[in-house]
Amino acid sequence: MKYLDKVKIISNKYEKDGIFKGDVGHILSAEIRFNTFDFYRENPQTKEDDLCAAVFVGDLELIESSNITDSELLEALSGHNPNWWCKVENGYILNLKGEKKNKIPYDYNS
Amino acid sequence: MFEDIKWILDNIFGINGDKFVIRKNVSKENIETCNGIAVDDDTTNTCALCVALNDTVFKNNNKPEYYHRNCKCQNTKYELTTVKLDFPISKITKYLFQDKSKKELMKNMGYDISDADFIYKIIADNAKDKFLKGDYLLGVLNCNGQKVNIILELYGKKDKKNKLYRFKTGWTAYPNGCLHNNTPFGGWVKEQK
Repeated sequence: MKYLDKVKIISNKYEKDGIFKGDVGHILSAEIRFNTFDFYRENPQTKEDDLCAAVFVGDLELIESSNITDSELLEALSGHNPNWWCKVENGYILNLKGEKKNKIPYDYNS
Repeated sequence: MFEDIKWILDNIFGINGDKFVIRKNVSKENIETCNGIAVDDDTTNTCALCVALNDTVFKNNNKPEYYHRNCKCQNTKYELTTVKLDFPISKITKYLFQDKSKKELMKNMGYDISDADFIYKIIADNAKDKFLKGDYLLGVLNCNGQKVNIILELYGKKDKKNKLYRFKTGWTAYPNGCLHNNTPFGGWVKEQK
């Protein structure tokens, strides 16, 4: 999971933001901050990116992967800094150097 | 010193309402730094939202009013003459003209991927111009920063060339008057011309 991927919300923790379990949208900022992605919901009727929330990476399910390359991802990161955590693969939060943030897969706070 | 006093007095009486101010706190960190790890700044006891707002620039009469007990943030005058953008072209080529739904929206306005450079430029120029004029709407504030919406007016193309579309573009305020693009299509503005 990464920048520009289409993802689904699998938690009801974001109802205060108007975002419900099952809502679909996109990851529209490249960085992972506080173990969250900047999620924008796509309004199912109008297709607008109308609501946003900082969503915990474990509360997202990948629907459709973007074909963005690592160099495009680097360009999108703040300060083009490869240290930013920016991908979730096989239960690990990763940066562009391939370093893992969490020690136990799927336990993102470990 | 007298200049500072004048600024404070002018501020109190609203004279500087439409001037730019920069929000600063004691932390060295802001939304762009943190060396890849966005956290509260424990060294200066600065919360995540104040880190996210540190060094951001807004019009004094249209700025985020997030403060808390023992908040160390202060707004001081700032001369903003140019708005910088953090807006990779991939937001247009790999999202607006690639995602099925967004591509359809653009197609309905008469645009396709061959117009990517034009659309990029018009969104970028519009954002710079309108932010400098203070013509923006504040959105959500969270650890990913203060969201800002800017309305774009765009004529369609081909058989839609006489139709004027109005929609929001979504941004996050980055330090020193920089805007980071979130979405090139944040929703229609309800009243269509």
